Amino acid sequence: MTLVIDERGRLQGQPGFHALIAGVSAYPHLPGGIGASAPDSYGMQQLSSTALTAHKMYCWLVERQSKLPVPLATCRLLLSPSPEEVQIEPNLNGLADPCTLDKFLVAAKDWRIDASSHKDNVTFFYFAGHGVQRSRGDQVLLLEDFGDGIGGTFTKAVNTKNIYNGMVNSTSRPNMAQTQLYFVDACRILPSRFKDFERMETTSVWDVELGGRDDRRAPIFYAAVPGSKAYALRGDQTFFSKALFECLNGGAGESREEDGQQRWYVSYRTLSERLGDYIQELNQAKEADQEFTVDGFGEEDAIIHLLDGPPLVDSILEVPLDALAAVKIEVWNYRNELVWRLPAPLNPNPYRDKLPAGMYRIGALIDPSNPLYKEDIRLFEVMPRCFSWKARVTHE
Amino acid sequence: MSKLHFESQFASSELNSLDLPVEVRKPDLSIVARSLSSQPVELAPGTYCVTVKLPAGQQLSGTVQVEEGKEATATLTPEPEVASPHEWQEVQHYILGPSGPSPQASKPVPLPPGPESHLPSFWSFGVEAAEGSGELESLGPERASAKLRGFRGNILLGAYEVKDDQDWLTFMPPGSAEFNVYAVSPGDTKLVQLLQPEVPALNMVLPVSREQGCQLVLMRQPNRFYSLDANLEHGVANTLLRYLQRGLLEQANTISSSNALPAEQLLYQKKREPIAAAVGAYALLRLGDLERLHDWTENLRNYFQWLPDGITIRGEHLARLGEHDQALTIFLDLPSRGLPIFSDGLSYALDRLRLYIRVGERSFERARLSQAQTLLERLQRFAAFVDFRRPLVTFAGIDPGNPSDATPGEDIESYGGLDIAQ
Repeated sequence: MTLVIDERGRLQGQPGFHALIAGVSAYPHLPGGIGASAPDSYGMQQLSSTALTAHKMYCWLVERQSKLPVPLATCRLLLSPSPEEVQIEPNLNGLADPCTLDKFLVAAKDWRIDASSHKDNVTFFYFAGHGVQRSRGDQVLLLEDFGDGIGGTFTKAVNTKNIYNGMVNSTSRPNMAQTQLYFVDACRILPSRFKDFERMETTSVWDVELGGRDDRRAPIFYAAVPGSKAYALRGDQTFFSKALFECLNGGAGESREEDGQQRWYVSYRTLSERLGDYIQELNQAKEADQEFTVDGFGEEDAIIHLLDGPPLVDSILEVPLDALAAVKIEVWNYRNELVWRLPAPLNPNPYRDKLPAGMYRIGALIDPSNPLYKEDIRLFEVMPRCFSWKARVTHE
Repeated sequence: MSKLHFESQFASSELNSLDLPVEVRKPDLSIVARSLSSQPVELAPGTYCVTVKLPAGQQLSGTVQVEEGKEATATLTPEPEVASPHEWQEVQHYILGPSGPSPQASKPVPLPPGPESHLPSFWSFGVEAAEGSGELESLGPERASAKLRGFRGNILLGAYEVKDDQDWLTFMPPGSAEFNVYAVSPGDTKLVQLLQPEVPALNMVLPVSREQGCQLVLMRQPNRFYSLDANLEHGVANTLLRYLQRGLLEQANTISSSNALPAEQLLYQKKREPIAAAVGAYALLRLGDLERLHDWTENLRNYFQWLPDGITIRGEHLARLGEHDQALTIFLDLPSRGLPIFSDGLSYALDRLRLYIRVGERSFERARLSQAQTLLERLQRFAAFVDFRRPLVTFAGIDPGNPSDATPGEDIESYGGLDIAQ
């Protein structure tokens, strides 16, 4: 089954959120696979987390569907999990059709039909698996049956630009969704031998019709910049998705007032702004060098989903060691409510906890009074990704 | 309502004169205004947070009380933890930021801590060895650790040559072991090449014209190899370029939608600044703001016949408007001007040519498709070696007209060029 969610009947033509999610870990024709070996594997191996990652993305959409900008109308899911992933997450078994070329083409065709039913639709595309470049500006996505020896090298592969270009508003699809979100979670490394085959063609997902004016809001988030690798935590999920979920769940949260109410949301612009910080944090922890890039365009920002409230921010408060015994800390929110009272000595120091994003008055108070130190009371904006404060209590 | 003004307090006049995008928030952090630091905003009385996020990732924040009928000023000062170590480094520290590992440096080394996060910069500059350390010193002349060469001409067409003179490049003191800045003079230097032993040569198309120069920045990476970058002469355009590079679209939008980069000034007045205008145009294309592009992309293309990006900007603009036949005609003119200065331009050309070839004779004449194929193949030879992380077209190859990963060997003296100041 590919169409795992279908609410079109209930929505009756109203704008909806249409997702196509694909994750490939098991490549039968690559080393370690159960099928006949590919004529050339180009150094690629089985993957252990990309199908799991795609599944997590599907679960996230289902969980957050009430907070999406429009109702979740359809979700097409293609998964080619490894045996290890199925052991970790038994729900993967039989949940979705495998991500072969035929299945992908059918799913994409139907997804585009749905997408073009209303201009206010929102589309969501997520692919996790092996990716290869033919040249630096071009991303090829390898499907499950890559390397089966049938057709050319890239017969069982598709190309992101072809997908993207085929989703433009055109004469035959005048009501194409004008908000489109693309996430490509694959390596963009260029095997040196592929440089010799720059003209190798992928399978076209569709014929591209040159459209008229193209003013979609259609950012594409690529997990790795051209020529670099995308990393994954074996048996868990990809770096990119880990950072992406952190951002979606509040790390890229932004706030604005609407109809007198404060609304917290994550949009593609806030995602673009903050995703790099979270990826960098993973890089530091794992000594990796993953980056991401965002292509595509959009005159206005587009909300991906609404948050339930202000995101919680990792907050670190620190007192200089020599002043530990003298300093107590009070943290007040913008409504003048005391949220933290931390007696002296601050323990642990630094003190770590989470604060809801907002403006706070943080006071380092000297109690009992001590001529060696002075009070430090200041206002701060506490925003994701983390907030760090150090008391300035010593006289200069 | 009252006016809130903004004042940044950097150490350098260069940074203080920059018009930076500012965000103003209420205590619950809901955004109430986005503006530039030169443009005050009208606010109701209350307490507000004011933030400037810089392209290199640092954030300046402050809170301000606005009272009825009284003008207020929010002062934004870098915290000590994120401040630039030296005044002369501020542009590099806050705008350019430390660049990533050189793509051509294949020697495996530990990677640096995150340079682009909110955390304080991890870069240390000007680290000097202790005196009398007892280390051996080499007798006789030392081999240069790196060299710079300039090229003039049309790289794309293969009609180019290395510049014999070094007048186009002037070292700007003080510099340090990790960080050197050079002034590139206005003139005919189209491309700079960085040569280092045993790693592929790095070429960067220069954002210069007959009237405008730029700053070339060499930064030593943790793996001890240098990387190349450049600051545009136009400060706002330079800042905008870096915001786009880092994905800070909201900040880029604030600059683009203001009058900080007005086409009227950049294109039509006596001191014309086409490179800054090109940056403004790329920003509008990236942000999808086709309305504001008007027809001045055509003027950019026509007024500056030497500017390759005039072609790619106009071509992409027409394509977005659905004028694909005209767009292809424009793109086919690219070889006469050469490689685009900006990576966006090269990407647009590659993507549109591939698309039009794919669409084929359903929409285009065979002869033009053949020309498109030839041009695409020519561009793909470069694209295979371009680092698209960089905003300026940067690619590997000892011979700029024939990009490759080949290394120059240990001895780079025979290539000539300027030795990098140590």
